[in-house]
This record gives sequence, C-alpha cells and structure tokens, in this order.
Amino acid sequence: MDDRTLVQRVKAGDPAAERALYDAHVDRVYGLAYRMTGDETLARDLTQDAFVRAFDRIDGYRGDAALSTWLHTVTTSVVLNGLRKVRRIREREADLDDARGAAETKPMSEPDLKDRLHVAIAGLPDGYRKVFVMHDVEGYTHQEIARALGVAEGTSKAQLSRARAKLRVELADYAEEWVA
Amino acid sequence: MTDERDGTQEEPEVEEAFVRALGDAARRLWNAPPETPREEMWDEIRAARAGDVAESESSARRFPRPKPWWLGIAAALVIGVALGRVSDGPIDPAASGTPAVADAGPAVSPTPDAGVQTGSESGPETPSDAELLPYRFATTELLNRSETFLTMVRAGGAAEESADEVREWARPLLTRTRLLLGSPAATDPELRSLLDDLEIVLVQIAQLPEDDSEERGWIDEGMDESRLLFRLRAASAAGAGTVRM
Repeated sequence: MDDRTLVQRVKAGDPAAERALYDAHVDRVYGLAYRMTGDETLARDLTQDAFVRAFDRIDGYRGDAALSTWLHTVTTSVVLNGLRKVRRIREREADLDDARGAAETKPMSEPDLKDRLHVAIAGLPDGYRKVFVMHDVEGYTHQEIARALGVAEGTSKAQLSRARAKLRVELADYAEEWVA
Repeated sequence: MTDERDGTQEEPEVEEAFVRALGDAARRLWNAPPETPREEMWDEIRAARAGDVAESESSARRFPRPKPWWLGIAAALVIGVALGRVSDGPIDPAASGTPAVADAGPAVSPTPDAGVQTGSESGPETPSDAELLPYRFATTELLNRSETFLTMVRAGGAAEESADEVREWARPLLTRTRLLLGSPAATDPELRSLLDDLEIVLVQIAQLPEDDSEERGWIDEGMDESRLLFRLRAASAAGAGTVRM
C-alpha cells in the first residue's frame, strides 16, 4: 500500500490502515523513547502519546514530505517534548553522577564501559545528547533530526560533532583502544 | 567523517573508527530497548482514541482539565437576569451593550427560545440560541485574544519576553479554552476541533522551558500542521453571530 492510499484510509478511520502505519514505525519510535528515558513505562507512555497525536493530526498531512518523515517528525517531537517534563530523568542522571567515581576507578571491561557510557552520555548537554542518540545510536538522518527538533541541519551536524568530541574526551582510554 | 568538528582533528579513518565503535558500544550498552510491547501499546492507543480524549489526555496528566462546575454556578447566579431579558422578548445581540447570559443547565429549559421564538423547549443537549449567546461572546473573545497572542508568539514578538511572561499570558487563555471545551459551545464539532488544537498549543506554551528555542520550533510546527492561526482568523472574522455552535 503506497503512502497516499494509506493516509487516505487512515483519514477515513480504517483501523487496518492505522495498524499498518503503527506497525511500520512503532519500533523506531519506541526505540528512541526507550533510549532517551531508559524507562520502559515512560517509553510506552511517550510512544502511545506520540501515535495518538499523529493519528489525530493526520488530517494535517498534506503530502509535502514522505509520510514516514512527517510521522517521525510528529512522533519524535512528542517523545522529546515529553522528556522535558519528566523529573525521573533528572533523578536518574543524578544517580549516575553519584556512580561516576566508582566507574572511573575500575579496570576496563564491558560492564565498566557500560557505566562509563551512561555517565558520559548522561553528562552531555541536552541538545548534544538528543542529536547523538538520534544519529549515532538510532540512525536518524540530520534532515530527520532537524525537522524533529526544529533546528537547521547544520545545527544538528555541529551538535553531533561536539557531542562526539566530548564523548571522546570522556572515554579517552576506550577511544585509544577502539581506533588502534 | 565529514561532519564539522570541534576540537582536535584526527585522520578521517581514525575518526571514523572511533565514531563507529562509539555508536556500536552505545547501541549495545546504553539503554538498549527491550522488545517493543506493540500489542499492549496498540490497545492503549485504540482505547484513548475510542474515548475521544486522545490529545487532551496526554496533556491532562500534567494539567488536568478543570471541571466546569463554577461555570454552572456563575450561570446560575445570572439566570434571573437572563430569564428577565428573555421573557421580555427576543435578544438582539446588536442592540445589547453587554452579553446576555443564560443558564447552561436544565433549570431554565422551559424558557422559550428567545432567539428564534419557536416556543420549543431547550435542554442541556440542544441548547437554544439564547442559551448559547453568552458562549458565543466568550468564544469570539477567546479566539480573538488567542489569535493575537499566537500571532505574536509566531512572529517572534514574544521572543524578547521571558519564558515566565509568555507562560503567564498563555495560562488564562488555556483555562478559558478548557472551560469552553466543557461548555455547550463545544457541542459543535468544528469549534470543538479548533478548541482542542488551541488547547494543545497553549499547553505547550504554558509549559515553555527557560531555554525554549527548540520548543518554539515545535509549537510553530504544530500550528502549521493544524492550520491553527488560519482557522482562528477565519473564526474570529466570522464574529460572534456566526461562530457555529
């Protein structure tokens, strides 16, 4: 089913079409929500809100962009917007900050890398973290990120570059091993 | 890597190896998502949409919509005035300097429909023109104010104001929007849709963070997608007498 037909059927309230649209994109939306929250319940809530919003706004889709682009713009906006209101994220980051010292003193191993990654990524400025996670972890393009965040593509690229530079410093010992 | 860099420049292949390894490690070790609970989420989505409360639910968790109980009380307080005016004859909005007010509840349902003089009884499910008159005034005023406010926000005119001030401006509009959503005015599907979209945007503005540049981009996008400003302008231009109820 092509995008146009799918949208027409969704607009007409066809449940099968809605489900098809959902099935095609839910993994990516949920994946981003989970990556950004680290919380299953929160990721579910955000994903559900995102799709509810997308279905409610489908009448506003005019076909200027690919349906997948439009859908991901709407859903990632909802997910990322929702994150702002979640105090639990901050609490979680605070816990990770507390764990920073212990992580730094252990010898290098996979579990340590996990801790160090958590600390390093959580320590990124909010804008850097979003772009890094969306691009390098979840595979979004700069165009998709720019649309979802409402910024220029150049801004997305610059923030990614700065995020990587910062992570390189934070993970310097691993970085040497990785590029050896 | 072709991305612009900040900091020391490495050989491209070295940098590429680092970026690839970093991404791989992050995908494996940083908040790796479990299997998507697609059926459970789908059930929730269907339930939310079936309940016709989808958009308001997502925001209502943070801003519960106030029950319009005080609207009923306010209406009850002025019912006597409304009854007197209605019983004297048809209400002519053009000749009235102040909005006439009528009860939204069943207490005045036996009152003849003053606007059209049909003598039919009005009830809470089919409010008469006379009963809807105050809501028309309130709706038109809200739409006018919202249009002005959102135009200013959209044009960046509010950018110089602190997020606190912008939030303060949005909140009373949000409250009034929600009250109208709980009033007979919202029985009209077109108006309800407009008020629903307006509510979502006002919620976003009422929750603007201090660093709000990204948020404002999303708000603009939301307004574009729902053609909110265009619809507000059209409804405002239509005026109190022709705003459909």
